Amino acid sequence: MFDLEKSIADWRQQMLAAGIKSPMPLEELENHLREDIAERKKSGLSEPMAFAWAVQRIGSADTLNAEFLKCSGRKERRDQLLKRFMLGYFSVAYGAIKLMGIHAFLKSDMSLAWRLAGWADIAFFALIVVSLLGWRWSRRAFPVIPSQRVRRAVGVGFSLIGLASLMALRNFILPNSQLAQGAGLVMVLWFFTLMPTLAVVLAGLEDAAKLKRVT
Amino acid sequence: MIRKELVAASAEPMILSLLAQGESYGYAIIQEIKARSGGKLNWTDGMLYPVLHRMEYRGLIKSRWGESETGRKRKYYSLKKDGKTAMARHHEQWSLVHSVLAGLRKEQYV
Repeated sequence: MFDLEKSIADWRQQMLAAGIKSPMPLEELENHLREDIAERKKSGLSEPMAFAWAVQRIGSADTLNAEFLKCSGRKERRDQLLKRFMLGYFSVAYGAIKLMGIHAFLKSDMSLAWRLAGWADIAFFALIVVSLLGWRWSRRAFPVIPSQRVRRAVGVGFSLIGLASLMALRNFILPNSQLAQGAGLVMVLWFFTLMPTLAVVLAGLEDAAKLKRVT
Repeated sequence: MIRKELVAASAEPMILSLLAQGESYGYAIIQEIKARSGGKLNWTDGMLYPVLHRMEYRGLIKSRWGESETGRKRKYYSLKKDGKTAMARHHEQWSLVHSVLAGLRKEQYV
């Protein structure tokens, strides 16, 4: 059975994948698509046919995006490049630190409890990496929060959690000389997993809101 | 069917002249141009939007979000002062091209 909303959602995904920005200009294109479908249905076409024609008329995602890129200013494009570069740079630096931490963990002695806690961190971290690699699928798991204000509040809350854990680690946990062997290392490992986890959840919430927005 | 290059070159003066009659939105602009050209000026629908955005970026037109009769969100475009100037310049150039062509054609039949 043809599901118009599902088809439009898929079309939105294709547009997003090609790099068309949401909300603008994607919202405007979607409005156009819906209007075109409605008009074609009025003139007697079936819904699937109306959808197929409207999609064909509006043009392919890649050509559209190429045209939109032409009109975005040079500064905007430079910002985009810079953003990508920074993201790449930080992920590489982060990955190196995390791997060094795991290496140290594998080589050092500790009690079974801390050993298990360390392995739990590695497993959880692997889960985060896998969900990032399969972002196309994993992003669907996030709940849709339509209110931007609520999403922002979640973001601020998460930043505070991250900051608080960093302060706790730096001021109370690591200077504590009573700490069991390996405990500090495992806690640092967990801290380095907490950061991307919070970021991934925030990105997931943003993406879910973007994908499922139906006007 | 009109050639692609000509379609692209005429898009801006067409949009400006259409918006000079009052504000409008993407879908209506396409329908209007299609109707006025007897279906011969055929844009790939989506391509209108990059053109509109570029014109807005250059300060020729401005946009606002409004609502359609059915309550759906719709983006309306209208002419700005620079757009009026640009339109006048376009009309001048197109009339010049047209008059040269028309003159040459007339001479063929003399």
